[in-house]
Amino acid sequence: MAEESPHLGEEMRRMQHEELLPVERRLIARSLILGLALLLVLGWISAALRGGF
Amino acid sequence: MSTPTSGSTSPTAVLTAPAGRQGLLASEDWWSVWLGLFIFLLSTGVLAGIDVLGWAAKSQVWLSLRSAVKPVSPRLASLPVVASILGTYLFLLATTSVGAAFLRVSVRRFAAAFTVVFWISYACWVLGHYAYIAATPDKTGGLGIGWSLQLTGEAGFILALLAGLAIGNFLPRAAAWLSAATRPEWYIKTAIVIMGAGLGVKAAQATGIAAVVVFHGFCAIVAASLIFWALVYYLARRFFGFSREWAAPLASGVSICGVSAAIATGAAIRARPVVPIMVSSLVVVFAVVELVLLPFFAQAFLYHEPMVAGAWMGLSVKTDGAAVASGAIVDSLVRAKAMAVQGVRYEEGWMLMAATTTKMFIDVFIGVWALVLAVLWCTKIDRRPGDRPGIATVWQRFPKFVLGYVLTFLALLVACVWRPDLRPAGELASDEGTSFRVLFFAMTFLTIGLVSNFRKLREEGIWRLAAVYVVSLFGFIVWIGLAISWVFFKGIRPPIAGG
Repeated sequence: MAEESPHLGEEMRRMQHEELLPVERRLIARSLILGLALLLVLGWISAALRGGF
Repeated sequence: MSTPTSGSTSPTAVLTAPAGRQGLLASEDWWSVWLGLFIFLLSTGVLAGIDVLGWAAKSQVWLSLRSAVKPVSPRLASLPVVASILGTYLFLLATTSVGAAFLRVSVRRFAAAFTVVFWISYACWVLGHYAYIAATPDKTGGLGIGWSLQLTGEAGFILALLAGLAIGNFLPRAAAWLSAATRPEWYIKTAIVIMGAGLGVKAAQATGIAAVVVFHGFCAIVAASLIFWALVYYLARRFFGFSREWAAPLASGVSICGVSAAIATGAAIRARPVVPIMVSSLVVVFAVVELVLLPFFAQAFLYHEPMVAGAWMGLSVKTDGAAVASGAIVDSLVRAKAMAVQGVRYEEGWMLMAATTTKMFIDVFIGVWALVLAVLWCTKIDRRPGDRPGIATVWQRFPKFVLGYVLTFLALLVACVWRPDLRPAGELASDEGTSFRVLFFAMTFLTIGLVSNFRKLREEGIWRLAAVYVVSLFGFIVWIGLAISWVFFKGIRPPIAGG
């Protein structure tokens, strides 16, 4: 690995701007929506189950 | 692009591993399973009346150094303490050296470095049991002392971390010399495999709570990981201008699971090896900051919700070692405070179990998430001929030590539920395993300190990465993690000790 360890500063300078692709936007949106939906559903199941413990 | 393994010591070690060495004897991940199972199997001899590991050294709270250590098994109480300690050292040296040999590390170098790592860790562990540091309010009277820091013996972990940080940052040559045995991921994963047995015995006494912890750990991690990853990735891409190659490993490293997540994601999207390595270096440094800060916040504000505190560590603290370590510290700090403020004496290990359970689900989740990213990258974003990710990819990235943990957990859970008369022997087996488990923990803390080189923070360009980390971690991950832990673990209490 040592032979391909460029300086981090150099890496940051070389980094080019890349527009957010539609597929990335969809990934972000779906991940967030799924996470929030699961939080609600599993939170509800958890609350319902907790009554039984 | 090298292929990652789940059982990494360091990102560098993983990414420079020769191709084709993914077998059952060629990764730290698998060796944590073998080593953990070996110790587990020997400890379970007591279930059949054969005390194989009873000579192992066990530390206890002390005022006089002479009473600091004793053999773990009451049957071998007459064994000289020196023999017990030396036996423990030689046993660990021999077993880990076998693993090192298969991992193609120079055994001579490993043994020399391990010896130093072991003895420093052991000294810290014993020192952490000094009564004025460790004694809880229920013990100070019996010891005849008027005050104590009440940190319990786990203070030894903090001392080991401080020792590691001192060596890693002020004695870089010594740290480099110790590198052959600087393997925090191996140590912590081995400890987790051993810990499964102890938690299995506990769970057998409270199967209802154990099931609740496992279910809620799963719930918490699925929701949290999806939310965290999306937010960090968006932040890195949209506001900090990171390329996809940098943003994805960074998002996984910061939001999901530290080093192994950054490496798995880097491999999934075919980033250059340097990317996850640099991300991982930062993750390790920040994990130590979290490890030092968050348990004390939890003690101050969450002592009345102990399981929330434990799960919060699993969700918020990155890297397996630091997360489980913070779970161990929270377990001791919160129990001590609950005892002092509420007069409630919770059973040991349940907060650690919550932290470990959530952390392990994260480790499993990253395998699935890496597959999702691999599919997305090779079909939509960076399509190349011959790309065909599948179930093999999931298995390749699956953290194998989880199998060892599940096995030891279920083995003693089933044994103690099925045959309640075996519980006393199960507890002794758990104690014997724990004698080694805590030493693996201590070595984890020491070696985390050794690899946490804070001079990295002076490196040009690091602040752009660090800014994403700080904004994400303290801006929302810690707080959302707390909220999700609250949603799933509020009101769940560990059993009362002796209750």
